[in-house]
Amino acid sequence: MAGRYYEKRKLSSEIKKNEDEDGLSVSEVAQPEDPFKGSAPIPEERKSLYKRGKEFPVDGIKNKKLKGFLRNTKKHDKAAVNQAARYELLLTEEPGYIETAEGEATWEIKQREIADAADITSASKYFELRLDQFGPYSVDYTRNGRHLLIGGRRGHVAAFDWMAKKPMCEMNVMEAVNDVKWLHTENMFAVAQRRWTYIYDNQGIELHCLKRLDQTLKLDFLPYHFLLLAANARGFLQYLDISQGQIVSTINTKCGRLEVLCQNPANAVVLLGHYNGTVTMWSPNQKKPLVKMLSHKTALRSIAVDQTGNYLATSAQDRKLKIFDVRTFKSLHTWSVPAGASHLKFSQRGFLGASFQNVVEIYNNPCIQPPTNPYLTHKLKFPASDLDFCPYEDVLGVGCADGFVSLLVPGAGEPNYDSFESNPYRSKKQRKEWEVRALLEKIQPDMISLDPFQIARVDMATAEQLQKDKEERLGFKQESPKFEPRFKKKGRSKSGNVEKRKRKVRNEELRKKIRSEAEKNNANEAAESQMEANVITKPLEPKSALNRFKKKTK
Amino acid sequence: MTKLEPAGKLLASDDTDSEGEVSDFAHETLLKSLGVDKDKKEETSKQRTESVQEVSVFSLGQKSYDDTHAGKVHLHQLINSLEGKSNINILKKQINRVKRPTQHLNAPLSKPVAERLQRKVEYEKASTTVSHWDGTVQKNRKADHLSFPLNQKPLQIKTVDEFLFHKSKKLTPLEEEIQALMNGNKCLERKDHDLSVLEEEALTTLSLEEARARRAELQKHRALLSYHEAKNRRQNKIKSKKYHRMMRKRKMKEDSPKALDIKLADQQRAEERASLRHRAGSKWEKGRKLIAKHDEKTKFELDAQKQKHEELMVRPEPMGSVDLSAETPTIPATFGNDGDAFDHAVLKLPVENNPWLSCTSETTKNDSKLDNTSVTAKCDSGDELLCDNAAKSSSLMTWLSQEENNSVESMKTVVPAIDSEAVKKFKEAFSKIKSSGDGEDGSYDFIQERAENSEHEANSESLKFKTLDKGDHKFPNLNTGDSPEEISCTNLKTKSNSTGSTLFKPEIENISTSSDLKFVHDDNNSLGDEQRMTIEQAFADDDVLAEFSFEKNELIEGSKPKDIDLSLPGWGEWGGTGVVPSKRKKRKFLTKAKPPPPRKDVNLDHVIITEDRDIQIAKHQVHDIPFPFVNSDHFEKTIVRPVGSTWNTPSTVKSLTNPEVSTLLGAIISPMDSESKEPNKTKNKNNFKKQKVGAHTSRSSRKQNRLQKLKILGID
Repeated sequence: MAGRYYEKRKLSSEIKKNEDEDGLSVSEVAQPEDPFKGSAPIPEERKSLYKRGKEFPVDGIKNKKLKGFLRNTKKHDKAAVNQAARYELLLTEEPGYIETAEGEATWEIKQREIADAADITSASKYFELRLDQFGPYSVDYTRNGRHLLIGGRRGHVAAFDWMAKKPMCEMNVMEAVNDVKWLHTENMFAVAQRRWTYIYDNQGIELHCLKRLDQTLKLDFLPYHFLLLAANARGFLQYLDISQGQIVSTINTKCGRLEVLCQNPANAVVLLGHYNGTVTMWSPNQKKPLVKMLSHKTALRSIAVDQTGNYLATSAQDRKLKIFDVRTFKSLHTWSVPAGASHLKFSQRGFLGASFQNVVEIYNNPCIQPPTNPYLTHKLKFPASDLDFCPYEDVLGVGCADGFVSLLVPGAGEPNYDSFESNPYRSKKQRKEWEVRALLEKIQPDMISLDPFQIARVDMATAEQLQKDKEERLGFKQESPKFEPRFKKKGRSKSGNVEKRKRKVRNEELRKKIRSEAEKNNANEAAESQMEANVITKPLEPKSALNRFKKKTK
Repeated sequence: MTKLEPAGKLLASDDTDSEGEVSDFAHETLLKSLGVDKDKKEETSKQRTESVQEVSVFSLGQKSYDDTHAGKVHLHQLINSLEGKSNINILKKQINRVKRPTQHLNAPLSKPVAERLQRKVEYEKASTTVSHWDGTVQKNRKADHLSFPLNQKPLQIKTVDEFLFHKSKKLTPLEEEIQALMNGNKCLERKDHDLSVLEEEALTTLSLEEARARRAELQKHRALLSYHEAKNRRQNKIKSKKYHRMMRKRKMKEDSPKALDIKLADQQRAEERASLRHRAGSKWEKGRKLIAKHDEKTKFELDAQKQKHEELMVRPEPMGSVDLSAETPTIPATFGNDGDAFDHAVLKLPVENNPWLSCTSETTKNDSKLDNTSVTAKCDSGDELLCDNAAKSSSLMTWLSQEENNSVESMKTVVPAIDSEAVKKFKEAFSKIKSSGDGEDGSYDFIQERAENSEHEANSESLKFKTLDKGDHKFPNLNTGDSPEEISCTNLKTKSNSTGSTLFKPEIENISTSSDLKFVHDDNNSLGDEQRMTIEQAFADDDVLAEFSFEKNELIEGSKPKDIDLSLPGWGEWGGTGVVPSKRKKRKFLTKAKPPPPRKDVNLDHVIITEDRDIQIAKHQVHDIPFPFVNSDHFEKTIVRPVGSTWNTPSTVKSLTNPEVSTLLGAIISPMDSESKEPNKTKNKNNFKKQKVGAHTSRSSRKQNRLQKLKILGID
């Protein structure tokens, strides 16, 4: 208290001094004119971040109402952009970085050194979980980065609030675990087990056994669509709407075992990597891939798409790492690595984490410039089995055969979070509110397409085309107008009689349909049997993947 | 008035009929020469219609003023003669008055016509008055947002000073009294000073040191208060009856000097409890006892209960080094003199019976095997002990709890039991590695690193052992498919990793990183070229490029529209087998398909982009551009604009979603008055109209005429 008084007195004495010099009291001094009148200018660069598409001319329009409307929209747009640019002032946090001494490279710095140099809270984020009994671990963070889920190959599944080091549940599912994934909140997670996929709650109680998602190898979750993705050992890609519990789409990719999967966060398109070096992109609405791209000549080991959805990183067994531009499908950079990266992951700020056997490397902005050296490296005891960057934290979680390691990667995470979007510090009530909001704002799976703005395009299709679309969607042609029996006198148009007559017609139609179908089937069978008779049967050699290692006869 | 035809003229016309125009002209010239004005003649020969007193013989009757302009004598001419007389001006005035032409009223219009005119005038008037509002209406129509009542004064919140000092209302006597009191108060904040009078006084009296001391004193006092408060709260929360009883006793001791009495009472109570008189007191036992007389089973139950009780009453063995604290649960014992802790000498419970104690003993056994004397559980509280026990079941939980403690001792409890055989193995392996020399081997290197990292000698040793143990024992194969990382480059045998392989391989290849060696990115590093060659050979057959281009070509061919051949073989030709339709016919009836639009992946050889129509998204798309739009581009760009709060700041969202009209709840919305009128911009518009539409000019002139007429009528 006294301190405050002291300061204040000092201040008042200063004022008194002023009075003496000027001979005027402070209040009477005429206010000098504001040299910076009006609102502060916003730099164009910052504005350009928030602009919504190209501007359009309004001058040539004759319709005054339309002209006025468009002018108004433009005005509103401009104001909105300015406002958004101005609000950047509220993003107070700055991303982390490493400052090295002259001649020292960042990749030479060990994790211990980073932890020692960082503050206590950051240092506590570098830790190791030694779980050597239950095999290689797969790792997943929630969208707000608060909770961690690890799933050991030999059935150990554990979920915890990793920042507070507070466990939520831990169990052994007594079955091989292929992958684990958080669903929309930290209240539920999916576990891809040997046979089926299960959903557990945060207490580890089994909520659902999804028998339709069987032999799942990889899981992913589309947060805005509430879709759980499951890639299968038999080459099936399935979309499950977790808000309704319905399978939205099942796609037979016909591409063999699906072990490499990632999503494009910008347009919710799913990317799969295949043994023949191709990357395919899928939407639940089409049974064929939207895009099929040959990225490597050998089998792909992992792929990752960055947060903006512009860049794709791929690595294959040819020990090369490539960056593609997803918009043009052209390769931007290629560089050789010690081994095919078994796991790739982009952080929020565009850092690329890659694991080569027991080495984890992190590249700083590899999409802009091909890296000559990694940003950071870390050596593990065993090969890494999974990678995941923690959102809103400078942390990379690595699952490996002997547990889990949390590494510090300064600058990896987004420093400012949007509390309406994903708040790491949200309370239970906030989470509940967010959940309701997110459900209300759920995007329909129909809207997934390569171009996220396609929904806003005018579809200039002919009426014929639209009719065709409708038939295709329904799966059948719409019926011709219903049979309406003629009115008959003498009580023959009683409701019962009318119904009888109607049924007669209906049955007749059905009979006709069945007859025609049967005829068609018979014809097909006959043709097939003919074909079989023609084909000379040849004893097939037993096919094996190992045949390729046999000595070649030239 | 009818005119009389001059006789001469009549005659002349009769005569000249036959002679023609020449005679007519001749006649006129004749008249002119005679000095006869034809028109004058006509006028002079006007018939008299009104009766006059004096009728002149020369028909000098009344003539119109105009006609007789020349010959008539005017009054002013007469006045001229009067010049020089005194009252001539008066006379002049009188004459002028007389001279003024008399005004006649026209005949009144018929009633419907008059009414029509009246209505029109009224309409004009009303439209002019209404048109004053045009500007306002236009402005309001264009406005994004209207809030009624219009012209509200902006909301202003008064500051406290304004509210207090500039109060226009008269003060009540109570308020006056309060104000009087306040004015004299020293604590009151002053407008022109930072500090109040009292504060200033305090400042002047206190020096800085004194103030600091005072503050420190106050702080200390406050802290003490809060500690006390916290302590009380914590104590209140404790549910243990025993604890509260103890507390009560302690308080009693403090309060009353008769400590001896209390001690005695304590002892008595302890004895009573020990005698177990109360053991039969439970409700359950009472009920059972009644039944037990008739029922063998319940009797047996009761006996069992009794036996259990006795069992529990046996004192446990004293734990060697385990130091159990007060909170260890449910072991009945007598209180020591101080009443706080157990008498350890009396505690002689068989360890086997107590599951809690057995665990701790196990750990101690294990630890002793490891020759770690320091490992004995030195837990501060029973809670921690429990925690450690739980750790046996879940290693993760332990880790998490231990992370908080971060103590080496607690770490050791996690290390699982290791039998002596394994230890031997480890030692052998370790010595082997040591003898092999340099730390080039990956695993050894790793161990070395570990050893460096770990501070505690014993800890590091156990870890080393663990790693090697893993290496020696091969784990059983897993049936499930392995993840790609399990297959190191050296062991890569299959394409899709479908075969089962051992989870932990004895030789795990550690890739050397920058920490040890220089960071090598080029292809010829230590991985073994031979291995790679075999891989390349193995995959030589898979020409993925050819496969891909074949697939793409097939797709393109399949999607091309096909030519339609409408030629009918045999039509207009000879039919039969082996007849080939003529080339001309083929050409004539073949309708060639249009070339398809260029594919999106034309220039990308390594990409296939589907051209299929997405029927699902088409369902949600707009197919026709809505009304005011004529250009799809405009429509698309306006529809793309985000409105929600996800993409916009709150103020923007508010402005974008503002309703067109809002009304203030409970306010009377009165019609607009003339003050709120906007200036019109219609003037230019009218001019513009006149220029533009030619037909309107005649209409507007008619309108002006009408107005003049009305003016004449005296309606205005």
